Amino acid sequence: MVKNYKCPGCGASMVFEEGTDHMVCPYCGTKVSMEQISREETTGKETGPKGTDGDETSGEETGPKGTDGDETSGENLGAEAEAETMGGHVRTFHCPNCGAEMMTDENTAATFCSFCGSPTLIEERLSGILKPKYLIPFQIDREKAKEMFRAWTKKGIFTPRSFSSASALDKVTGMYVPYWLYDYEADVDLDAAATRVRSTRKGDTEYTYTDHYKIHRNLSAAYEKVPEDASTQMPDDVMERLEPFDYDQIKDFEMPYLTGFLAEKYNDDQEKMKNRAEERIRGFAVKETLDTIQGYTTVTVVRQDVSLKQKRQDYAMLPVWIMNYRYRNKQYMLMINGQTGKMIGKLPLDYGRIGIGYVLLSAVIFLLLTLLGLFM
Amino acid sequence: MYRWKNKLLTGLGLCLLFLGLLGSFGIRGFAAADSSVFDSAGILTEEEEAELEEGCEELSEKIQADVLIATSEERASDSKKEARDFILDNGRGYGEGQESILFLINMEERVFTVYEYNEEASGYLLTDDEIDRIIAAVKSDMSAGNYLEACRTFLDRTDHYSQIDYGENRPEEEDFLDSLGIRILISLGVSAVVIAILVVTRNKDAKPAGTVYLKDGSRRIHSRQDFFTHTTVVKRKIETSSSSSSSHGHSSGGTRGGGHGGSSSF
Repeated sequence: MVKNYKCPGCGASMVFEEGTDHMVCPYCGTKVSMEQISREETTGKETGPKGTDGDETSGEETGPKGTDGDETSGENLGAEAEAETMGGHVRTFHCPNCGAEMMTDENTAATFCSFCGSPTLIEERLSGILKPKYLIPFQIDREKAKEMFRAWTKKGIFTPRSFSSASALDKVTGMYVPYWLYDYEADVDLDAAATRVRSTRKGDTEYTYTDHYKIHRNLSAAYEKVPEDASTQMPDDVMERLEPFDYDQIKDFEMPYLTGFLAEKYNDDQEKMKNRAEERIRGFAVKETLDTIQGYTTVTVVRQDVSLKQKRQDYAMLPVWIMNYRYRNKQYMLMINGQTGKMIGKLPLDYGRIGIGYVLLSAVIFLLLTLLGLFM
Repeated sequence: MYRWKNKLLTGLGLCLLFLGLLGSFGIRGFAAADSSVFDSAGILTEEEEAELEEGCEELSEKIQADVLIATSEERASDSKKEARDFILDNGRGYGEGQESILFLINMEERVFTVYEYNEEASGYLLTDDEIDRIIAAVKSDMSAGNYLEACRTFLDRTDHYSQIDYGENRPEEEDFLDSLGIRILISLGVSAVVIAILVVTRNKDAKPAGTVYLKDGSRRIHSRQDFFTHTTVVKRKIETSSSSSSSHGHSSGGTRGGGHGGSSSF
């Protein structure tokens, strides 16, 4: 079952407008607030953009990895089409706008029709146990993301000058990436050996005194909404560097937020990502404990016991801009946190500039050493 | 006759007073004399002084430099400055170049110094390395309190090293940073490290710290114990640097000339 949101004015497909709290029709400019959509979806009223009630299963629910079988029973106000399975991983749908056949992989939850460009949501992948509990809407729009990309291409002293003009943006994709958000309580019991070194001089003899201490700490701390990306396609390390997201802007999940963007359902289930989250939280808690041991020259951990207690886990969609670009026939990728604007990517290197920088820096250091030698 | 006797006694008394005053000025007061050994600390016997005096004079003639041995009991924070001041204040030096080589033992600081001075601040008889070797050669005797033997070794080694003719191959005595090769190597090395760091870190973005996800007010320390257990002590004898060269071409108090030397504790 696929759906999109029709403009109440002209019937075209509406999309969510980044940085706002409403949907907009790209054709006639009609705006409808998310509050109104939510209210109308709840009451089943058809005055606004057409939507459908999802299965209000809490994101806290755990269960087997999602299947497509949990059909919603709510009123289907959008166009829908039969889903057919092609091969093992590709499914076909019919676009609710133009009727063309759409092909998606098994994880896609929000996409576009290749023919009419209409934003389309695959409802069955966003409901039941696959329904996210939270979502952070995009705050950075497509144009702003492109601007940021252009500014980024000029960044760095070893970035080729031609990179800014010659790099070609192949694809700019706004994507809601599935995340698991974990809440944990951590208790750390830690023993350490610490030393404090002081020295005095008597005559021509230097005395170095090393005071030895036995340290014990027991600390507890709670961590909230530690995110772990739940998509196998996304590199965990890169996604971790895109953090943090500002949870002050987190909202309860509403499907219309996804319109106009790509979205994937999770394919790394919560149990799988739990290990990674626990490893991170264990590191956070130990670091927090070690930070309480101050004023020593050396601190060596002798024993540490970290016990973790999971409080909750939630499924959420977090916004990311993915930019694929080419430079000198090589493909690169830049990711932008769609909320905060933090960018993670690899800038190409200009080896000529590195060489010039090396020579110039060497000359400056040589000059400084020469001047230093004159005054010594 | 009585009046004459009185005048004689008064004259003798004044001479004694004058000599006493001179003595109170310490070793520098005597330095203007022709003597080459000044044992203000009283660590040498008369016979030993006489032997060393003879050795200094012979070596002075041989190498055409004023070879001096002095001891002191004065506090001096800078041993090389003390040696230099001793030579300059007493107008020592051989010939026009005022070439001087001093072995100064400071019993108060328990530091000994080998210092060479000349007016031109160049063309030294001893290289920095040779001064280091002389210091190393006398150190064991100095530490054992065999001061006479240490002075003998000083004279012997000075004689030996000052006779070595390096010709054009005489090693340059220069500061570490005076070496062009060293400066180039440092420049290239430091630049390589800096550039490598810039390249490696340009695409590195910090991962968020745990505090980002720490729930407000949730952090509690239940137990905090810091027990002192014991103290260990390591003793280290401080070697006064025996490297020289820092006073090359350096003027002191507007005086021309320069010197180089090295010191060591004993």
